[in-house]
Formats: sequence, structure tokens, C-alpha cells
Amino acid sequence: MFDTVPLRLENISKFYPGVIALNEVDFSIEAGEVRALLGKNGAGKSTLIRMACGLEKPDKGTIYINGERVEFRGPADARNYGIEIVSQELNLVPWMDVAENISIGRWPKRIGGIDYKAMRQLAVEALARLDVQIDPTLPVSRLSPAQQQLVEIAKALAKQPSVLLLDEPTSSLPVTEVESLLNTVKRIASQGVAVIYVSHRLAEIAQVADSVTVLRNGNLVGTASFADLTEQDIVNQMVGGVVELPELQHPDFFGVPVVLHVDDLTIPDRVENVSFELHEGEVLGLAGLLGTGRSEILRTIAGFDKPEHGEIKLLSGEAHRSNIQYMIAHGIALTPENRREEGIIPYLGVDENLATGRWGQLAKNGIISWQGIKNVAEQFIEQLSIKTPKVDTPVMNLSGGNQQKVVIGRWLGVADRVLLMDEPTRGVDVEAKSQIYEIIRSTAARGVGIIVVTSELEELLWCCDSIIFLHNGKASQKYKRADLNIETLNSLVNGGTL
Amino acid sequence: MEDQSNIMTAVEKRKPEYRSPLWGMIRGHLNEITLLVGLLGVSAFITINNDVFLSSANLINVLRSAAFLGIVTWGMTLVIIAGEIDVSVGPAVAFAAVMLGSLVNHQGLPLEVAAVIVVITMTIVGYIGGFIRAKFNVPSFVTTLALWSIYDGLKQVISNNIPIPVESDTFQVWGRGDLLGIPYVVIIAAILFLIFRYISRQTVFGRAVYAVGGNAKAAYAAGINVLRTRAMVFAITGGLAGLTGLLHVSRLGTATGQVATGLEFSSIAAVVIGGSSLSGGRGSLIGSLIGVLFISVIANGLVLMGVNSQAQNVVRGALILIAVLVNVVFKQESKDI
Repeated sequence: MFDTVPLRLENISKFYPGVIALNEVDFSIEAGEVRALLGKNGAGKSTLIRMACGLEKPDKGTIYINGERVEFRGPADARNYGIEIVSQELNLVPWMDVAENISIGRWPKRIGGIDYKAMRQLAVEALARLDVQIDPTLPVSRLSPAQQQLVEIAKALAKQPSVLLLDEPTSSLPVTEVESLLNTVKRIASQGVAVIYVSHRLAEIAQVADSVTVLRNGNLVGTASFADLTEQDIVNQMVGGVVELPELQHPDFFGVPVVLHVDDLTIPDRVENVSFELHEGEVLGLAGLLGTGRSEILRTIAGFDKPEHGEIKLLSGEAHRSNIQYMIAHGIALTPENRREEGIIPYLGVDENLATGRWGQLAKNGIISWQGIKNVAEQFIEQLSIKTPKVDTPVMNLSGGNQQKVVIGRWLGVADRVLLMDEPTRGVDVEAKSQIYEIIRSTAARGVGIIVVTSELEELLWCCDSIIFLHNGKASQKYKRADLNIETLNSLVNGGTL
Repeated sequence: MEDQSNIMTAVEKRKPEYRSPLWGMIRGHLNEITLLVGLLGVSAFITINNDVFLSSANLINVLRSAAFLGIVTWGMTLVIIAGEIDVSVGPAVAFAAVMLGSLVNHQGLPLEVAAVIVVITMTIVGYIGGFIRAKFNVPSFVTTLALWSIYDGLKQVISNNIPIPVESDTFQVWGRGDLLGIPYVVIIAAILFLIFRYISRQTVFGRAVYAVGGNAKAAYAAGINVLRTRAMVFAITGGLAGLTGLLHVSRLGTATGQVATGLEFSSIAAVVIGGSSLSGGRGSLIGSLIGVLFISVIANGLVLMGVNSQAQNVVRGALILIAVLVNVVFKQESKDI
């Protein structure tokens, strides 16, 4: 029988020592289909993807391409069968130009070397297929993260794949650019390419996917057309239960002590004359598109950068300094936006990652107490439900959500006045997300003022008391969360008014 | 339901299997154990081919040369864990030796004073080199390569390549004397080893070294003084190079610039053989100790077996390569999924 299914995995299983990563899973995709692949961290998504693109061999089961039974010895084999992957990490050479990157390793040749003209042509065509405007002669290092992501996709498309795997393609993109990426995905599918789309963001999946496949604990929960499901159905399927969003109180902060004054703050090319106050126990959301200075405001408060102009005042009139250690000592700390780059110390254990930042409490005359570290670590592992085999397991072996909880845990009990959180739920699964919201709420309940920056607008409704919008270098007034909904949020973040 | 039972088996299989504590210990130190086995294997091979090797006089010899390599290597371990490299230690030791001779013989300073000045100077120069690396973000390979050349040139300028006699019976005890048959240098190296092991595991500074080497940006964001940590590790190798220079003078009775040639190579090799990652963040003093012994045993065995000195370097290089390869392979094996 002639079969045109571009990729079909049948009865596929993968075992790691002590763990069944995938248990007899069937998966197939049609040409032109966009299939969302969903599941919590550890559900088996990455294993499935790695087998589909030849990075790993299944222990059981068969892979078919157009009805032909195949066995991949490596990624090169999968590529020959028309399967391309764009992984979460960018694999571009920053100081090569866009065109060179697109045809990297397969540069068109002519007598005497590389045919630069043909190479440019190839790049122009690949970019045109995506309908994006990027100058192919620019070095990649000059592009924004979103543009780099598009170049990655162009690179994959230049090889004319029949199946394209996208692994969290939007995890590092600002809201505005997500839209254009989603359009690109739809466009690629309309050209007959089967797209497998992995993401934690249900909202974008709803926009782009035709169907979803949900995995849980290595098992296939099911595959369904998107039209048949609600977001809540999907979340329930992923976690195997019902997740309830936290009910928020709407306290009035009138008369509650102020822990942080920001007065007339100016950061060059970002924001001008921003002023606001943060109360004890208040969770304030800073909303704005990427590049509006959200992160920069947090970094300035935390002492990473010097403000160009303006004043930051702490509780009881203590001075603010552009010195991280000083700010930490005064109970103000930041959980950075990029946990792999600035958050975790990969080879050190969960215990030490939690202890960094509180050496003052755990060391005497520069000599540390391992028992003290262990006690603190056990307390936070329990309190934040961090899933780790042992207290001293290297933090790099944990899933993204658990790593994030470690980074947040580092400051609990240290940042006892102001906790600044930049994208606290980026790249984190649904269950860990709701746990992080809970941590935010319970920390605020202990009287800590919290500022949250996030690209996911709904998140602001789920965990903030009040929200300030940044647009065109200006800050809006402080809105009460109770007065906002997702539509008004969307309008305000784009510079509109209530 | 069949689906349900599948999930159950999956969940059951996820439970960690019971492993005895001994196995846990072995697994956690697979690197060190492999190395130790390798060290014993090499020693056995030499013993079979040469009956002098196991004599106490020869073993003391091995320990003495291990001590002269080890002292600097303890510091080098911290440098490499911090994600840095110090290629200047060889000429630094030679310079320290010559400087001591010059201060005593040319300037007429008392030996004790001169010795203190040498160690302090070397520490400060190391700190400055480290500070330049940290403050201006110059790769440490470049800053210490420059120092390598400066030390190498200075020692010749000062000494004119002529050995300077330094005579003092009390001073020579340190390099030549022994306590119950164990040379003082070995005792000094052993004490320093224990101190550095303690520093690396029990002090805020030691853990900061691991943190900075593992992820400097995260360490900075967590409030660790990255600049000072980086400068300090180079100050330490500087000071230890100064001390090693003193011990060489004490052993020889003269200050000559002909000592510690190629020490930087052996020292870095010992650390890497010991399992520390050149990209920083991982490593242990125990590993470096075994690495030091490994290199010293090989060097001794080659001499005993009468391999000519040019060929010795070839064999030594090849064995080190093999040791590092084995090490890397084992590290990949023991990596958790």
C-alpha cells in the first residue's frame, strides 16, 4: 500500500536505567499539519523528538517514513529522510553572516572556493519563504533573538524538509515577535511541511496547532484535533488531574509601609522618569513588550546597573547603591531572566545553589557549615517541592522548573524586603508554574514586596496585586489587578488606555 | 484497564533501585578510583622491570619530587576549578629562587627577611596578574603567558645565568633534612595539601571558586565577589611558586634559574589527570594529589628503566594523554541522564 505519511512512529519505547522514558507510544503526522506536542517536563516529549530526528535510537518500535521502515543511525540519516529540527538553543555562528549560517557546512562551491553569489541567493530564497525581512549580509550577532530564531528556521527550511520539529521556538521571544513566528509556522505548514511544535505556552498552541498529542510519564495520553478541546482539558490531561488557579485576595495597600520608592528613574534608551512605590506584601507586575526596559528597571534596583538619573529609596531611608552585595545585605535580590546564564551554577549541588547568597548566615569567619547548608536545603526542597534525587545532586540534572525553584529559593529568607523576579516561569511546565505562583503569593504574605516581570500577560492576572505598564519609555499609573482582564491588559501593554 | 497498568509499571520502574552505601561511594569517586588503579598498575609494571623502585630510598625520592610538583599544583587546582589557567609557574619558581639569592648575596639581607620578601612579592605579582585578568577581562592564558616571559627574562637579567651560592645550615634543613626519614618538603607539601583540601571544601572562598568557575555570571548575580575570587587564585599560585623557589634553593644550596623547567606543564597535567575540568567548575584536590603522584612515578620509573632523557619526554607525554583520555571517557560514563 502506498503510504504518504511523512513520519510515523509505531509502538515506540525508550528505557533509561530505572526509568521508562517512553512506553509504547504511537505517533504520526500528515503533510501540512501542525501538531502540538505537550506534556510536563519529563513526560517524554524530548525523548520522542530525539528519536524522530535520529539523536537517539528507540529500544522498541519502528519508525516509518512514507510507509518505508527506516532506522536512523544518527541525525544525518534523519536529515536525509527530510526531517529537520530547530532546537531550543540557537546553533548559529555569531560572527558569520546570515547567508553563511543558512547554508552552513553545505556552502555552494564553484571553482576556487565558495560561491558567495549562489549562497546569498539561497539565503534570500529561504528568507522569502518565511516572508521575513532580514539582510542576509548582516552578521548574526547583530540580529535580535527573534530574528536569529527565524534564521535558524530558514536554515532548516533550506534543506527542503518534509517534517520540521520546533522545540520551544518562542521561549526567548518577546510577545510582538511571537506573533510573526506563529504566522511563519502556519505559512510553512501551508507549503506542505509537517510541523511538530513543542511549547509550554498553551495560548500560542491554540493559535497555531491543528491537533495536539499529550504525553504523561512516558505514556501517550491521546491525540485529538484542537477544535475538540479546551485549554483546561489539555492542562488536566498533562498533569493527570485538575489544576486550580489561585484565588486572589485584593488587599488595599493604603497605610501599609512602603519598602521601595522609585523616583524619577531614567535608563538611557529604555525608560524616562519612572516613579512608583512598592508596599510590604504587594506583588507588583511590570508589563511591557520586550525592550521597554522592564528587566533594566529590575537590574537597576538590584544593584546590577547604575541609574543614569533618578533615585531609589529603601525602607527607613537607607541609601540605595549600585552594588549587588550591598543590596542583598539590605534584603533586596533579583532572580534573573535567563536561568541557565545567570541563575544556576550547574555543577554545584542543589544544596549549595540554595546556599549561595546566604553564606553570611551559614558561615562563620569564612568557614561554612555543611550541616547548616543541608538543613536549609532540605527545608526549601520540602517547602518549594523541588524534585531532586538528593540534596547535593548537581542542579544541572534537574528539570527547568525545578532549577527555577532553586533559583527562587536562593533568595527566600535573604531577600526579606524586596524580591525582584524577571520571567520567573520561563520554560517551566504547567505544574511548576502554578507552584511558582504559589511561592510568589506565600512570600508576599510574609510581608516581602515583590516585582514580577513577565511576557505572559495572563500570568499577571494570576499572581499580581497591581500592574504598571511600560510603553514608549513611559510608565503608566499603577492599576489594580481587580480592574483588569486579559483584553484590557492586551490593550494597555500596547500603549492603550482603559 | 491496560492503559492504567502500563502507567503503574512505569511509575514502579521509576523508583530508584536499592544500592549499598559502598557502591554510592565508589560511584561518586569513579575518577579517583580509576586513577588509583592506573597508578598502582604503572607502579606494578615498574616494579616487575626494576627492583630498585620499591626500595624505601627510591620511594622517598619519588615523594620528594612529588612534593616539589605538588605545592604549586594545589594552587593550580583552584586556578583551574575557577575556570582559569596559570602557565607562569615554572619561570615563577626559577625567578623566586634567583631573587632570593640576589637579595641575600647582592643586597646583603638576612635570609629570613629575604625569604619573606620573596613569598610576599610573588603573591602580590600573582594578585596583580589575576586582577588584570578579572578587571579587564583579558584571558588568563595571555596574562600568565606574559608573566612567563617576564619571569624568564628577569631571572636571567638578575643572575646572568650564574648560580648564586646561598649558604646556611639552618636554611638547608628545609630542603634536605627529614623528620623520622620523611623529608621536610614532603611534610610541607602534605600539610599544604590538607589546608587546600579544607579551603576547597569548607570555606566560603573555596566554594566561591567552584561557583565562579561553574558559572561566573550566576555567581556574580548571587552576590559573590567574582573579581576578588579570580585575583586571589592567582595570588595563591604566585605565593606557592615563591615558596617552591625557596625550597629549591634550600635543597641545592645555590640559587639558580635552572630549576622547575616545565613545571607549568607537569602541574597543569597533574590537575587535568586528576579529573578537574579545564572549563572550570569541577575538580578536586584528591584528584590532583593522585595526578601529582602519577606524574612523579612515571618520571622516576623512566629514569630507573634507563630510558634516555629525550625519549622520556615522549613517553611521559603519551602516558599523560592516555590518562586524560581514560579520565574523560569515565566522566562521560558516570554522567547522569
